[in-house]
Amino acid sequence: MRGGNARVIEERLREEPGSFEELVREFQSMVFSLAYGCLHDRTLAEEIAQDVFLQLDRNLAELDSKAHVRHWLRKVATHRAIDHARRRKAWTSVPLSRAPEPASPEESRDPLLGSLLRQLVASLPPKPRAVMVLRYQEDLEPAEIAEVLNMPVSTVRSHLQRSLTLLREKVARRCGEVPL
Amino acid sequence: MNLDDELKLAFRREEPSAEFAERVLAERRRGRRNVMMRRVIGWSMAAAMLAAGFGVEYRHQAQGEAAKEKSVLALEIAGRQLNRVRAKLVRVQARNGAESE
Repeated sequence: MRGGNARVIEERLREEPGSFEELVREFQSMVFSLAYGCLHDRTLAEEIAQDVFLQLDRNLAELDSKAHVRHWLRKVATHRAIDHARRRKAWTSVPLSRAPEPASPEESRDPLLGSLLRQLVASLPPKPRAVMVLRYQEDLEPAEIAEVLNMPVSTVRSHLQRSLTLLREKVARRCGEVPL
Repeated sequence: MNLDDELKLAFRREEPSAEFAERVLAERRRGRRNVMMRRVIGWSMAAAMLAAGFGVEYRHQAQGEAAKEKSVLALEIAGRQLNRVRAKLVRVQARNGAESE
């Protein structure tokens, strides 16, 4: 069974990329969410996502499988989002330890905790922010994140560790409970 | 509360606006039309330059032909003149020869 599943997965990974329209519909959520996770701005995230797909159209002939397309899209979308975040300069001057706390108090933890966490991640410098989004949105391992961002694995782990420590502190202050 | 789980929930993928895919496809079509237009203009300009080049070459050739014709005409006129002069000389020589006898 395992061998059968592995074979199916392998065959799926080798799938032909498909038409451009099919790729847009299949990957629009991933690309948009990567940009939105990094920038916390829906309009800007859609602009970036559109540019990424138009760039995909120009490079599609060089991509030979759906897995290759997925990898390419993650890489390009993340790098574009980081570039935009740097240009905006609203975030990069804030060191990790001094990232601002969100102003809105939460009345109930559940509906607002997600929003709080997104705000906290959005307040991180661009690269640690991208690391967090790739880890928790795309479920990538540190080695895969390192490959997408062209950075050493040790740097990825360091960003993850420091970001999580900071988030724990800030959430504890807001919720009065230390998250595991 | 498990922070890892909460972060995964917080960062679930979201959908862009409903018209996003259509906007991307429309922009792609617009971009391709612009590329085609630029190619058509480029080829037209190249063809026009080629035609202008041929035109100049043809004019030079035509001018050469005209020059050749003029040269030939000039030579014919000169030849006819020479023949007239020779004929006159012959007549004069013949007259002189008859008078001396």
